[in-house]
Amino acid sequence: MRIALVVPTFPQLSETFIATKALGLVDRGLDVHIVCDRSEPAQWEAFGPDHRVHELRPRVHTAAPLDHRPAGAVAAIQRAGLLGREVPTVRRYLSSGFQGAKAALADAPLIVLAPEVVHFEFGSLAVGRTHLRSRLGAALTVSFRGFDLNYVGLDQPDHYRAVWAEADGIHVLGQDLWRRALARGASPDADHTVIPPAIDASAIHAEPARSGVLGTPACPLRTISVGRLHWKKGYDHGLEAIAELRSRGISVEHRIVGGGDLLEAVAFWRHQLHLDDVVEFVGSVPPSVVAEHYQWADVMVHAATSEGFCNAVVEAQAHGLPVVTSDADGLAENIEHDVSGFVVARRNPVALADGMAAVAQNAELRNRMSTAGPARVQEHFRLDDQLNAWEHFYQRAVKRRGEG
Amino acid sequence: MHPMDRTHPPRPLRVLVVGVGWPMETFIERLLTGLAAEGFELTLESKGKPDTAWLRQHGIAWQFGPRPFVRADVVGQARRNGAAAVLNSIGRAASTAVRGPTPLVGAFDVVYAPWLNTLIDHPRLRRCGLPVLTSCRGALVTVAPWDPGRPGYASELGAVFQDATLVHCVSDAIVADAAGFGLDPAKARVIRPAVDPAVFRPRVSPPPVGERLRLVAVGGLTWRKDYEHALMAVRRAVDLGADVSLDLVGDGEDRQHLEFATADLQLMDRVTLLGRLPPAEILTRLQQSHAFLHTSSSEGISNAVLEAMATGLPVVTTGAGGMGEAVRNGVDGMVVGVRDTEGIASAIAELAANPERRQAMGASARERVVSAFSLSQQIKDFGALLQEVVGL
Repeated sequence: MRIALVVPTFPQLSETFIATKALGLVDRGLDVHIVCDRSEPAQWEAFGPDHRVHELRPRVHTAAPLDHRPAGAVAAIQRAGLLGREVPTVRRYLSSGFQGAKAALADAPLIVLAPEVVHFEFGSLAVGRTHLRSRLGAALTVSFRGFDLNYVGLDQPDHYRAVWAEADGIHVLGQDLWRRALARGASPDADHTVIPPAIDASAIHAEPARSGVLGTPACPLRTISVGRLHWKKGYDHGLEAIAELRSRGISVEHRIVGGGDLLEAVAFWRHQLHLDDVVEFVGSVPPSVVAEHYQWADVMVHAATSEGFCNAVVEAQAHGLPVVTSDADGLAENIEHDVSGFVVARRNPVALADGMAAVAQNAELRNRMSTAGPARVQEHFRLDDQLNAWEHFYQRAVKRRGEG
Repeated sequence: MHPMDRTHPPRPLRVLVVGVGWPMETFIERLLTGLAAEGFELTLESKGKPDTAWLRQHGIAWQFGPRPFVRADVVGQARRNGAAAVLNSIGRAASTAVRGPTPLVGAFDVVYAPWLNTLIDHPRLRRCGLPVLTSCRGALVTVAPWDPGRPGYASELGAVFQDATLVHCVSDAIVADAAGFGLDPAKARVIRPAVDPAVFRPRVSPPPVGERLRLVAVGGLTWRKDYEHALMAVRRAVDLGADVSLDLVGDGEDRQHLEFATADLQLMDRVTLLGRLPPAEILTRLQQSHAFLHTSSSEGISNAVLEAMATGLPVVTTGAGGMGEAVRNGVDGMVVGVRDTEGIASAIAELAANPERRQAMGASARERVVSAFSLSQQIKDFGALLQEVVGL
């Protein structure tokens, strides 16, 4: 089965889960390709030379949106050349006249690939492109994540109407997101599949929790946040929680792993909250280095105000880290409250600090959560299970497409 | 002091103003046109020529510099001033490239950089042989030096403070911040922002009482304004029993965040994001509101707050930067801690429950602006500062 995964940019450290999924499906014999607007050399390098993402290079097809610049015209000519051998498909496009011809140029890499499944990894990308189903004769499947459902097209009640109607399969990361999809117009009867994020925990070595009372000057509590520097991650609330811990006399060392446009703001908050000496910006680093930071930490704090599900929280659990997280979107399905961490109200730094303080001061609790996290990942977020679910999802979508 | 004062050269003071864009910020435009009206001979040096009619109206000259043209400048200028002006500018740019920049000594008496990063980007300006004045306004001093994405900025800031003859600061708070990066407080002169109370005036009839408290906030939708805490506080105030609405005037990169937070906090029926509005409409919005909300985490002194005060609105503000120098806590409004959701919510609830106090604070706020933040006084003070710089 040939599957085209459509994403804006590939690869991206913050979306490693797409590479993991593609590699897993290729390993199972599926012919997976990635079609994206951009593919930046710096991002490939950021994964490090040994990461398996490089195996996907021949499977990545870039198709930047065509524009009126000279480079756009050159790309259009190149794509027209590619389409020379795809006469039947192109005919279907040209039946819509000039607009069809434009769409054919925009879709050229997909037309040439002729996949059985076109999968939009973000629902917002599928808007205006549901014609691919009829023109390519492919099954159309779509993933809806927090981004698509929480922000995109909020001022247009019918923004996803065509997607809900045309898709042969809808995927969401958790039940909370499906509830949001229903609020955005999905039919309660629509065929949807919940496939949560997953990781390959076999290579992860969960460090045992440190013993004794943590948070003393001699033995500060080591806390970590992992994620893009973006407003939705709630870094101001997370830093306030760190400041709250300090105000309670708990010594802490905090690392923020991730890069992004909000660095100026996060750095300012660090300064304003008098945390310059305890908060370190690690930046955007390859997954292997992120793993080292998980191993260093005693607890993860995740203060997001909006979050689909969060792969980093799954990874932290796999590393045996108790996670103190907000209840944004799917996080309450990700962490089992009082088992693998604490789930508290979003925008509540004091509650986040309460959770971290409990982890610092109670070695027994820390041990219990440290053991529960990997077990939870093993039970609910196993990569093999996820890949099985994806295979089944695509098979069902193709069958459904075949049925009309 | 008039620029033709006998103690100074018997001609208008010639001021080269560097690094202003077009359209320029309203508060800079007010200052510059005010100085021009006072008789200062201003020349703007910028990458693109401002509107020719505006220059002519205020008797302000323009010269090319200090940055080379980019495509957007050419397009913007063509729209403003026509193709001939663009050709003229390109000619000047070419001439500058061939002959080097025009010597400033002799042509001007003082260089003024309203944004101090101009002096960081163009060190030649602060070593041009003329007295140099710059302004410390806000984020360039309070935020940028802490940004790891701008390595070396803090030391460059120190070099600017070292080279500048005098430094204008918009608040005492920013003097303290700048001192941390090498500003000698003896070089600092505090002149606070100002507004024209004749333009920003209260509505003729007193604001209606006995209905939902209408809050308004004006400013760019950026993280520095911290409107998420404004929304959290409105949510909290409503939960405390206050009947409140909030109009947010402005636009920016935080819009998506605030749209989400509005929905997430179930405030869709109480919070309206109005986007950018023209000045006249902003005045109308202020006049239709009961109180002004300002939740910045970083600020110099907010012009929007001064405008609201002039319009007779009590202000609930955080104490960020110099806000406590403008709003007297309990007199013109309420000053609370940055990110203090409970404090902001309590202040809102108090104003909602107490229309008499609201009106008394609004009247006091207006009086405060008239007496301490009027545009005419600011221009006089700034003129005197320019004279002082030249006299040193």
